[in-house]
Amino acid sequence: MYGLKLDWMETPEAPYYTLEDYTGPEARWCPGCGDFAVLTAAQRLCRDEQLAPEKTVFVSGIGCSSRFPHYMKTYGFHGLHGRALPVACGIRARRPDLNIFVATGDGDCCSIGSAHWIHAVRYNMRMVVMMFDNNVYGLTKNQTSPTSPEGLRTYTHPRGAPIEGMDPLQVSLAVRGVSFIAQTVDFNPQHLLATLTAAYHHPGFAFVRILQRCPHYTPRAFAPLQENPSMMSLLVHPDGIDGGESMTRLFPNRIEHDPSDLRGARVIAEAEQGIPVGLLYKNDSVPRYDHASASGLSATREDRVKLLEQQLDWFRI
Amino acid sequence: MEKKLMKGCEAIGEAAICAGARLFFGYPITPQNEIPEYLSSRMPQVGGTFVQAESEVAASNMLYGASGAGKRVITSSSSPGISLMGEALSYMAGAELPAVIVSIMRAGPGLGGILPSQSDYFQATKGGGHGDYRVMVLAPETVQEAVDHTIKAFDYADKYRNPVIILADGILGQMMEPVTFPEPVRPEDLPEKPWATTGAKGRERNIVNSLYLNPDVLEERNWQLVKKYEAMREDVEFDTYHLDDEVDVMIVAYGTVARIARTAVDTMREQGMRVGLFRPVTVYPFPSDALAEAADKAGAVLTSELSTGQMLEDVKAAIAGKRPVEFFGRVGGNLMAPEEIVEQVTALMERQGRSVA
Ligand SMILES: Cc1ncc(C[n+]2csc(CCOP(=O)(O)OP(=O)(O)O)c2C)c(N)n1
Repeated sequence: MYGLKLDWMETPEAPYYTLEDYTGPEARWCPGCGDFAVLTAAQRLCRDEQLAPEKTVFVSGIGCSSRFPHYMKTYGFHGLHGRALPVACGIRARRPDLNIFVATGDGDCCSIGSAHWIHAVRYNMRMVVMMFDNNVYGLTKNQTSPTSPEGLRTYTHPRGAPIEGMDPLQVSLAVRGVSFIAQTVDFNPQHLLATLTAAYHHPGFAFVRILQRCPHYTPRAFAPLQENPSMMSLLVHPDGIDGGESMTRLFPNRIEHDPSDLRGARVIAEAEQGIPVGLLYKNDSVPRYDHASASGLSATREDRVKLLEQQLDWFRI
Repeated sequence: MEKKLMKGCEAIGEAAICAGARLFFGYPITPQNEIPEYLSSRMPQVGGTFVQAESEVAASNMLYGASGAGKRVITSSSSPGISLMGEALSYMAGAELPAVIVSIMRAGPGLGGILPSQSDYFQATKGGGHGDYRVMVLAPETVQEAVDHTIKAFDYADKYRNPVIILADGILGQMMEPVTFPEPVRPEDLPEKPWATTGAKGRERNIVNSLYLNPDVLEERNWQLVKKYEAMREDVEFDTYHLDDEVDVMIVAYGTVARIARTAVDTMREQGMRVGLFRPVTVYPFPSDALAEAADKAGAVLTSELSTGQMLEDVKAAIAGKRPVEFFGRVGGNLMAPEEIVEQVTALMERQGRSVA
C-alpha cells in the first residue's frame, strides 16, 4: 500500500504496485458473468505493467459492463450511454501522460455510440478499448443488441431478432485509420490478458472485442465455443498475440496470419466459419489525432511568444 | 367495457393501439421498457410496426419521418432518452407535425437513478429542444387516466399538428390498476391529413420543412405558432378536491404526488382542517386562470412535487403574489409520505397564524 508519502527520504524507493492497489469495491455483476474475468485481467495488466493508479483512468458508458470503473482503484469516469469514446478522446486530446482504458458494451459502442466508434477508430488516439460483446442489452434486461444473432428471442423481439447482427470486427476494419483490432474470449484468461497487454503497448487506438458470457440473458451465445473450441480459429504469427504454450491445446484450429495484412484481416473477419481469436490487424505508423491535439503542450515559452507575435502581426495596420 | 388489470406502461401501449397508432419507434431505457416490450408483441397482431432503433435520436427521427407521412405515431422513453429526443421535438414543432411522446420520468440530472421523479417538468413544458416552441403536456394521475390521456393525445396532436407529451413518473408506469378501453379506432377511419407526404398525385406536393431563412417570414411563422399554442387553452384541464369552500391551505400537485396529497387532504379534513387540492391535468397549457381563481379562496398555497421546484414557477406566475406560495419537494427517487404533507401544511398554517383546528 502506498498511501504514505516519504518526504524525509531523499531517493524514495520506486513503489511496487500489487493487485490490491488496483482492486476497488467488490464487483456486483451476476454470478458467472464474464465481466469478472475481464476485471481480473485488467487488474493483472495494471500490476504487470506497474501502471501508477493515479496515472490510469478507466472510462465507460452505461451498461452492466460499464460499471467497470467503479471496481478499479484507479481514476474512473462512468460516462453517458454510448459516449464512452468521445469522453475518452476528450481526456486523451490533452493528456498524453495518462493510461486510458475504455469499457463499453455492444449496445453502448455499436448501437447508440456507433457514430462515435467509427470516428474514434479514425482519430486513432492512443487508448485501449475493451468492447464487451454479450450479444444483448444486459443492464436494461434483455433487449436486442446490434450484435444479437438473427432469431435471438429478447423482450423487444419475442419472435426473434428479425435481421442479422453486425460484426464489430468487420466494421472497425473497414474504417480508414484503423490501427489495432483484436478479438479474445472471457473464458480464456491467458489469451485475454495477453490481448489486453498487446493492446496496451499499441501506440494508437487499440480495439479489443471480448466475447463475453451473459449467463442470465444469452447463456447459449458462447457456450458452444467453450464446448467445442474447434469453432474458433487462433490467429498465430510472430508479431501476433502470444497467449503461451497452453494455447495449442486450447485452440485446436489455427490460422497463420500476419497482422500487418489488412486485406487478410478483412477476409478472416468475413469468413463464414472459424471465429477468429487473436490479433487481426496492427499498424504502428497510422497518424494519431492526439499528436495534433496535444502539440501545443510541448511548446516552450519562446515558441508561444513567437506564435502570439505572428498572430498579432495579422492586425498590423 | 370489460375491466382489465394492467401495468401503467402496458396500458399506455394498448391505448396507443386503441387510438389507431400502428407505428412505434423506441430505444430501451428503464423504467419504461414495458411500453416497447408490450408493443413489440402487440403491434404485429394488429398489422402494426415496432422498431427498436439504434438510439433515441434515431427513434425520434423515425417518428418525425413517419409523422410526416401522415400516420399516427408514438414513442416512449425516460429522462436521458427524452433529452436526446429534444432535437426531433423541436423540428416536429417547427414543421408542425403531430406525434405522441411518452415521458416516464426518473430522477436526474445526468444518469441520476431509475426511481420515480417529476424533475423533467421543465423539459416537457418549456421546450426540451431549441427554439420558441411548445408542446402540449398531459400529466395523468391513474392508470386509467394514462389510457384516456394517450388516446386524447393523438387527437390533440392531430388537431393542433403538434407533438403531445404524456408526462408520468416511474410509479404510474409500473403500477397495476384496473382499466377499461374505449371502442378502438380503425386507422383507416381517421380523417385524412392533406398536408402529409403521401405522394403528390393530382395535387401540389407537400414538403416537410422547418427552415425559413428570411427573418420576416420566420418571425411571422413564430407568431403564428404562438397563436396555436394560445388556442390550446381551450383544452386546458384541471381537477379539484375539497376546494368548493374557502380553505386555509390549497395544495397544488400533479401526477403521483396528487394521489399522495389526496390522502393527506383526507387525513387533515378528518381533523377538521380546511385544506384542499388543485391538480393541473394539462401542465402545458397550464391552468393558470383556474388556479388563480382557486387561490382567491385560499389563505396560502403549498406546491408539492418530486423535484426541487419546477411546476412551482408556473404556480407562482399564476398566483402573481396574491397569496403566499410555499414549496415541499422530495427528489432523488424518494417519495413523500402523506404524513409529511400533513406536517408541511400544519407548519405553513402556523406560520400564517391560522389555527390548526
Ligand atoms: C440515452 C440513454 N438511453 C438508454 C439508456 C438505457 N440503457 C442503459 S445501458 C443500455 C444498454 C446496455 O447494453 P450493453 O451496452 O450491451 O451493455 P451490457 O449491459 O450488456 O453490459 C441501455 C439501453 C440510457 N442509460 N441512456
